[in-house]
Amino acid sequence: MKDSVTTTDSSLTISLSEKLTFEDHTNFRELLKLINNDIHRNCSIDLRGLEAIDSAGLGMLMIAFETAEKFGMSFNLYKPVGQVKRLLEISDFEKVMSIVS
Amino acid sequence: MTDIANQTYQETESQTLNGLTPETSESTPFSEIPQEEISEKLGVEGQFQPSADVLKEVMENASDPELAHEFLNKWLGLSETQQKAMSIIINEIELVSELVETNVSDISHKFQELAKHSQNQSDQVSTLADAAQNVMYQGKSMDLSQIMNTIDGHLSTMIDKIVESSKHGVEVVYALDDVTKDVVKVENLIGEIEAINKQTNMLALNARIEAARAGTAGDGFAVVAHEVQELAKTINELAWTMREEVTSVVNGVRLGNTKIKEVANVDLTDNILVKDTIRELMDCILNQNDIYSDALRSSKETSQDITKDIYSVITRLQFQDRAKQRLENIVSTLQVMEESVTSFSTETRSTFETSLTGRTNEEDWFKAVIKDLTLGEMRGRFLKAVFGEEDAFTEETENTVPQSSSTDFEYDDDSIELF
Repeated sequence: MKDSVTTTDSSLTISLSEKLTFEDHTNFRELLKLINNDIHRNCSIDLRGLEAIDSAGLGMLMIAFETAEKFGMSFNLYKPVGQVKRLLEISDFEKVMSIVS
Repeated sequence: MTDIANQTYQETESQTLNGLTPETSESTPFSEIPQEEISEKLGVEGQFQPSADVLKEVMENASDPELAHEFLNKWLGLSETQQKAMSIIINEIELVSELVETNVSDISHKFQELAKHSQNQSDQVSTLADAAQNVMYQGKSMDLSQIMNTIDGHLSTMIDKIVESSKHGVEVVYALDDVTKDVVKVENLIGEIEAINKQTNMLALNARIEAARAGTAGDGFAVVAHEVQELAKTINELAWTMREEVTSVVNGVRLGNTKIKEVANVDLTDNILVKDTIRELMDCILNQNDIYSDALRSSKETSQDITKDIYSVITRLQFQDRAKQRLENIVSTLQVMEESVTSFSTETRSTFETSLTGRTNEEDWFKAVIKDLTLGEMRGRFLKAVFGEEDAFTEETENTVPQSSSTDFEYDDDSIELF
């Protein structure tokens, strides 16, 4: 997994690319620390560059959502594509969190 | 005149009995001569035609009563044969009427059975169409869409649990990572305790050395130094015990962390994508079921159409009633005609009783009549009615009645022609 972070006064955008799997859990925890604060009101995970995800990756996205929710931040997954989009659809993620198509 | 008449009659016989010229008769068997040719030679529709020469001779000799009586004698002979022919025709018509009535009744009965079977088939297809849409599950009838929704619901629940388990797996890994880090801190603290204790032990040893140098004055200090050294030893043992316990905890946490990572690292996306596969399979089943249902509905409609058509045929078969009435009317007319001819014949015989002798049956005319009868049974009845005995004339008529080839029809033992 590769990531890049963009911030404004109120928004935090984390862009992910390549693959998000269990092997990335340590790096992803560092990103969770960015959410785990009271600085931003909005958090968006940009998935346009993410090519694949496994079940642990889905679990990490769910943790990210719950972390943002815990701090009262709005949260969305931004434009997932391909296998990532299909897995999010099958797993009914849109019933839990906002997914921007 | 009688010779002339007989001569003329012989000519007529030659032409109408065989229906052929002598050359043709000698060279070609009668049975092989085409029907059209026979009919042409016999006259219109193959019927007997009185000789024009006889009529011409009667007209030229109108004043000759003997010739007129002879001619009238022939008319009476023809009349009697016609009576017998009409009688047998009436019988034949009645037979045909009975035959048609019996068979139409049988056919109507068979068609009613057919309509009943067709209706049963339609009902069975309808039942089958309903059964194709529904499945009995735990005593309840469920249609396929309900089954699909139920399976979809179970799969969604399973996927929710997979995602939830994956999330918990990562959270446990994060927690165990934290514990591992904390345990390392404890190990470091124990190391610090051991270092301090080591220094304490060194200080106690130095104190005992200094106390020994001080002599008696240092005895009390030596005791304290000894106690401190003992205390440091005890602390050192405790620290060692703590290190062992912490090491055990660290090993346990690290093992747990490794195991949970192995669990969390299991990719369950294939299990999630099973929902897609099952949904596609269910769609295929639903589509196929729709095709079957459409086919069954179409089959049901076809069966209903067949049933309707069969009932229509049964209604049409009622033509037999009208046909029977018409045949009865024809029989009545023929009976009147027969009675008229009989009456005329009787009256003529009583008027010319003494003059009309040597009457002959019009066998030639009758042979022409039965010539076209292809049914052997019917031909036999005609012969029996006219000549009294069927066999008496059979051999002769074998050569006069055209025999169709075996490819047209066949006779069985009961004289029923199977076409």
